[in-house]
Amino acid sequence: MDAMALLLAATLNAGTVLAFAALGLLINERAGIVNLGAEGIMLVAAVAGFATAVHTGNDWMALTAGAAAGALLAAVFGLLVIWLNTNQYATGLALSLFGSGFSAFVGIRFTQEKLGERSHYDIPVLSDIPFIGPALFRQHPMVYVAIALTVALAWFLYRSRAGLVLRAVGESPESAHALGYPVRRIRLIAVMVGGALCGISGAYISVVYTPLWVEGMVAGKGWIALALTTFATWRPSRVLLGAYLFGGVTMLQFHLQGEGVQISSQMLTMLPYLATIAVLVLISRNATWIRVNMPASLGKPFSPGG
Amino acid sequence: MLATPTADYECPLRHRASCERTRLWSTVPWVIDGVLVYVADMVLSYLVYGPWKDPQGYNFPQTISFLEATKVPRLFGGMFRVNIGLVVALLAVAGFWLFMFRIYAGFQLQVGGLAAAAARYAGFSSRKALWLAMLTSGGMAGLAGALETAGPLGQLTPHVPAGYGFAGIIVAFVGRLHPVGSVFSAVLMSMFFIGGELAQSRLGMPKSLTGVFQGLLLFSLLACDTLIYYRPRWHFARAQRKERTRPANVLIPHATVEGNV
Repeated sequence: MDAMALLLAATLNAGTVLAFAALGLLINERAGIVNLGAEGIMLVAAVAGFATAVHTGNDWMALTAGAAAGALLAAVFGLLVIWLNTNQYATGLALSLFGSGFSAFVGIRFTQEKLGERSHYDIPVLSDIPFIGPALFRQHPMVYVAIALTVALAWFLYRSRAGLVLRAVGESPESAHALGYPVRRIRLIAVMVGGALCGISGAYISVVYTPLWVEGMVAGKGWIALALTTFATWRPSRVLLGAYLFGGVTMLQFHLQGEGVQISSQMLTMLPYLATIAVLVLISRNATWIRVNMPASLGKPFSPGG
Repeated sequence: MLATPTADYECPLRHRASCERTRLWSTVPWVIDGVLVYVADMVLSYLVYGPWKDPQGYNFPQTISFLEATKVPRLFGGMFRVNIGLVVALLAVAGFWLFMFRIYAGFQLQVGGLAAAAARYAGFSSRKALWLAMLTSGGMAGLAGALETAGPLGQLTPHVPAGYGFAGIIVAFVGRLHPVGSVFSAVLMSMFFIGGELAQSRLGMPKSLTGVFQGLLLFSLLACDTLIYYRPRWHFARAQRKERTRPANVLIPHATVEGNV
């Protein structure tokens, strides 16, 4: 019973990491931009967040620093992709390489550092409920922020005018342009907001999730988040669900190891990656389903000059 | 031959065939690529920590050193560290060139990449082209990994994957997706790797510097492509705020701005 509660709590925690990154990428992709550099952004943000946490000792500052670093990197990506019309996939890959190299380069002096005492967060009354308390109500506040963000994003995309414009930019930038909307500026903002969310996710990893800095510590979570947006057919609520699902798969491996299951740890570590591939392959079998849901101009450059 | 640990594969051939064509699918193959790297990593570390571990290796995660007979022979009687892989690579380049520019199937592949609609109209099978490209490029990447392990390394360790796979993608781009071009870009890229290692051993800088420069190289190359074909011009936004349908700054093809500097 207790183990289950802990597993559930760990799942929520791991899912939050994925949820922030995937929601950020969702905003990007709704505006028609694929950012394959998520992994690099998250790594740089992780090191930025960790460095801030070491120097200031404040987790919130660290998360802010991560968001800023993410937005900055995403802005570089955005300028290349939106104004210079470079290939989004290649540029994202370059960002991914740059980010992992740069984070390792900057982070080398932080590999030995430790963060101070981690604070525990208990919601007063609710956390004392027997099973549900430890499972749901002893989380870092960002776990609940992720849920709130999902709701807010769903409202923004489907109920607000700005969200409609954002979706229009992703579906048909030509039409949005003809209506007088500054397509490229909107796309840049979307890319930067998405980058900031990826940055929060990266900083969450290095400050809250596993409070230390190791080279390459994001370990493919950026790629999994990218897969999640497709998996969720570009809908916020499904992104959150998918994030918890994959978080659960990630946590299951530790659980199984704890139970003493006779499988090598490497095979278990592979689980989330294999699950990602399996899900993508299954989804890809149904072409129309994807085509109906995918932003129509995803990955296509747009130049108002014609 | 050994399974290759760094089996994230890429080569010009595959790009010609898949990048443009799979635009609809776009993110899926890339993400699978990205995730497979970690799977391959895990398989490798499973093997070197588990069944393939050297029994006399003091419990270090490494296989036994390969027997001389299974190693790749060096060129010039072992005077330099260069091995027969160089010859294999150059032969592969020649073979690719022949295939891409002199053989019908290679032509089909190129048409598919450059103009998918034209290829469909001509009746070229995109499925066949994709399989061909994926299998060849996977095979070539496997060959690269095998030559690396059976050549300079001589054993498997968890440190075999050095990022050559992703570097290969950059090599293909920098070589302008041309087999001969990739020879030169490969030499350039290997200088990055050697430079990174030198910076590590002589200056005490981390080896990861290589990745920074690789990323920057690809950034600049991609930006260059646009700047070669277009001249950016800054339209003053203030004058245009009233009619927002005109963009603030536009990329103008060189041809249309002749004499309009």
